[in-house]
Amino acid sequence: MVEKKSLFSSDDIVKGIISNDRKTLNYVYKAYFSKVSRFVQECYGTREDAWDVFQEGILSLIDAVKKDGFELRQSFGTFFVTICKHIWLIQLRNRGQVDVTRLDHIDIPQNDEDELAVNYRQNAQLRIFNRHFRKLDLECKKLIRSTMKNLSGKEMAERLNISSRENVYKKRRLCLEKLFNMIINDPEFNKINDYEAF
Amino acid sequence: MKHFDLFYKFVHGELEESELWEFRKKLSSDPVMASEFEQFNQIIQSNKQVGKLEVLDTLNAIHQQNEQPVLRKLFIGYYKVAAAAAIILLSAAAFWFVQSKNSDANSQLYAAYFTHENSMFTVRSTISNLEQPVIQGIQYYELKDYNAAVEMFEKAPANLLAKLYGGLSYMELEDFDKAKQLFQQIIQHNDNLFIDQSEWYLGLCQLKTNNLDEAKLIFEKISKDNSIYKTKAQKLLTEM
Repeated sequence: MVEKKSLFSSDDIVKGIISNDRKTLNYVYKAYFSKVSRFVQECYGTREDAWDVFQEGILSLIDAVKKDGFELRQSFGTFFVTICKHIWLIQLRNRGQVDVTRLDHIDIPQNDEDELAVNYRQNAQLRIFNRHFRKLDLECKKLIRSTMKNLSGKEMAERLNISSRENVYKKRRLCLEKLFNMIINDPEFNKINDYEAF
Repeated sequence: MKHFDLFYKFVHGELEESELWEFRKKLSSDPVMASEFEQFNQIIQSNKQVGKLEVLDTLNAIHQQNEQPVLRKLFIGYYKVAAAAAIILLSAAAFWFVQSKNSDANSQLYAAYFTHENSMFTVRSTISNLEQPVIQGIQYYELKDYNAAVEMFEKAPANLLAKLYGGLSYMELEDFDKAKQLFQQIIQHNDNLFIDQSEWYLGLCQLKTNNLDEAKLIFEKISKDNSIYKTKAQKLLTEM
């Protein structure tokens, strides 16, 4: 742990996360997932809940640092773990399964409002989207992602070794329909619409 | 999703004038359909956040890689593992204390020189001869799903490109012993296009695993040869 800490400053970590640098994300995972997991499991959650919270914490962090004038006024670790704690408490409140007054004893430092002005609901939806996207076969994944890369039907057909442009469109539509059905049948996706923002 | 076809056609501009009018009318009068359309749009918006989705892909690959040992620990003889681990840890701690300074420097050098290898050039030049698992493996590699990539490459054990990107995938997964084996096999083959890359990455694996003598030998060879990594190897040797 000591060795890894010397490799990254808080600024390096933030830049690494935004640029999807695997080494940085691996460091953040190894340094902070256990902390987030411990907190969540001490507060009525499971390890799976903790993993959801951790992912949303990273997405919220990306939103926060992309805001104009963002300045990290504390260490990365303190800032990130605090975001995760907030996210878990919001989830608990919205699940309605736990009386949140029982959590009053938990000491969570308040972050600056501006730093946490993030679209919490959108990130939870994104996490659920990704959960189901990962279940698709490789061809579907490539077809759906390539939609966002502005490739023509012909280019997609060539890259994915599909016989024609028409088949690309047909397959993409079927892949999207499959993905959409998985997402809207996920009970969590529907509950998220009731979530309150930060 | 009941109205998927309709929504899909609408967002792709495939509805005729009359269908469009009908669609809008129905949307304003049918709250169930309107709610479904809102969900449809939310999902479409998610797919547009490519940067964030790629970060989630990377995180999930890391999590998957780290969770497998956790699950194993839960199911195999817990106490035996704990006792063995305690003995190993005590021995390792003494060794680590001595080695930690060197290891730190080697890791920093490795981090400075190891960069993600873009597959596009290599793949384009050989694409016509590729086996299906190799193509799929490279596609997983591009998606940074290294566990899935390795699974695919293992289905083509004789393919040199699979060995190269298998080795690179293992490096990304920080399984350096397996990466070394694959690079060594390519070098021993001795008649292929990937020897320069294999030597360079084998050297980096030796550096990362603190085998400094082996690493130096490899980088010295590269710096004397006409390798594409010649300049990098020369620079790295001065920093070791």
